[in-house]
Amino acid sequence: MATLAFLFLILSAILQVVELYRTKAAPSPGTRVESSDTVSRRKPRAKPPIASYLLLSSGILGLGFLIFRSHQIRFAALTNTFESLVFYSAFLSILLFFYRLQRRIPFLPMVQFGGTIIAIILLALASSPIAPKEALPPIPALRSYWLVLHVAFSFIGEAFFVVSFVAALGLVLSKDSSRKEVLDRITYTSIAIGYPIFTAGALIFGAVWAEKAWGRYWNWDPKETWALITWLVYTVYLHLRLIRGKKDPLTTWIAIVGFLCTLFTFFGVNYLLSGLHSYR
Amino acid sequence: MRFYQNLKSIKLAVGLLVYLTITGTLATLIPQGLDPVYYNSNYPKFVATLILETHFHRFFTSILFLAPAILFFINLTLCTVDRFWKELKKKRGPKRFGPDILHFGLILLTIGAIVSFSGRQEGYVELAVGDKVELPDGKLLKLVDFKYLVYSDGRPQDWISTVQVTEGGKTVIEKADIRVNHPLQVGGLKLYQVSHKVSTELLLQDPQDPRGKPIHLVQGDRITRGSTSLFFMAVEKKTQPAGEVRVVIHTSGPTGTRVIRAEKGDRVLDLTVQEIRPLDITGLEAVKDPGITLVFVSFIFITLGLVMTFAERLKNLSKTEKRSPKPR
Repeated sequence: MATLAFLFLILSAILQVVELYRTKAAPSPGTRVESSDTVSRRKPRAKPPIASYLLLSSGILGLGFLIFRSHQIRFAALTNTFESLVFYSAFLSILLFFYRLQRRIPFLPMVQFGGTIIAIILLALASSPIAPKEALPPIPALRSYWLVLHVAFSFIGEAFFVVSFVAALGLVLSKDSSRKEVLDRITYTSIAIGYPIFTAGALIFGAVWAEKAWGRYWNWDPKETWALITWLVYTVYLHLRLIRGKKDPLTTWIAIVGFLCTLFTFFGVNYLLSGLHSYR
Repeated sequence: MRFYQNLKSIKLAVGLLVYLTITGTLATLIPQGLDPVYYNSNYPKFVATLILETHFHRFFTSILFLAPAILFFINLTLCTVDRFWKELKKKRGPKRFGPDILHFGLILLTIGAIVSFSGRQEGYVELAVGDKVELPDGKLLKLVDFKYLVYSDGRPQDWISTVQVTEGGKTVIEKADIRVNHPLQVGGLKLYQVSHKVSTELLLQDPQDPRGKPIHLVQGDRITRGSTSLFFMAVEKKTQPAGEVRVVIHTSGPTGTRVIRAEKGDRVLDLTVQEIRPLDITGLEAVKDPGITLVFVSFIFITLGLVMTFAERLKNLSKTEKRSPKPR
């Protein structure tokens, strides 16, 4: 199932490349051309292309795989790096599908494509030797539904940060002012949605779990500290926008740094620093 | 007035957040809480001196962290009061209290953390089945049973300590399980399952009284027989036959000191080794944290604040969308 999900993602990415070239050459009906890229401010009138449905299918397959695995291990399969990566990638794929479908945030094919590439990288990492794949029931400390909430909400929040990261990268590289405005809106909106979910997951549910498991809601463990650092970076982003407005390139760079912090929190701390969270 | 304005400004908040982010990052890269020798031998002299002089090796309890954190707390409190007051007085437009509730939650969290930090008490105890220990409030905790469950591949599945709590001869808790992730609340105390080890139990029988209760000794125990003291020092694995063990006992008395290696059936002083068997020892941690309720209440406020802020932002987004031009 996970392999099929990976294939669907690859296929979706290829179709998106084709779509990106086609829309550049000739805009499809229902989309609005703004300078060098395609931007739909209200809604994509045309149905989402097959590439988006492939994203949705990949996400559903990934989640289905985790449900099947949960049945195997008789606990929610979200307790090791492999399962977390599959969940992250699956949720990101579904989010990218709904990003195409929704009408509130302006749609940019390039953002969806960037997100797809990251979903592919996440699944590729899941299949790499860094993530042991045996379906094993968790050790006692990990047998907690607070942990499941902690992991799930953290990665749902981080999936929104992926979208913000891709948009922020586009913002740095883009020279067109109207396109920049759209990219900035995507960056801000994704962080505005992801931030509360990440806060609840990474900090609040994590603290409740730690209290239940070890009797301390905060240990200054490297993973906890890095989750806090990530949260602080996004907090700085949101507050800096209040002071310096949306035209400031510094906020864009902070959005990029924020996502890099999420990566270090997940991978860097697991593999470079030791602590209570050294589960693989 | 200007000082007050600066103290409650978002600029100061952002500056402090940036400072805490950068120093917090460095603190995770420099190992915390180790002996000064470690820093002196692993870093250039100048860097090691800098780390030790600024207490960066204990960053989260150092002035480098605490002073800006306190300043941030003051800034947050003033900012929250100011913002809340402005929202309350607002006559036009919708009132947005989400950020205020979120900030109030963070203030409560900080107070809760300070209460935890200053009033937290904890103690660790190791018990074998049948052992009793007196809790700080005078109650008596007895380990009734202990189970160590493993999966088929040998990995730990659960550690279950079954305890009984009594007070002045009266039973307070007849039987309750303490498991990882499932602590037991006894009054203001929470008991956590934190460790497990297998020790060795030595049973010594008085040959003059073969029907009498044997003496139970756990590794590290000491008893006195007449004028001689007996100390259960260690356990050794025998090479032949493999898997069997013998105990190492240290005796000291008027005739001098001796180290005896004994196995089942051997004589030690006037006693006979009746049995050497493995013994499960459970490790329980008792925690009293007066700040925990405040911290959990703060979590409710933070979550509520986040949800409200999120809903208000979505509402705002819809309005912006309505105002923005429709696509051609």
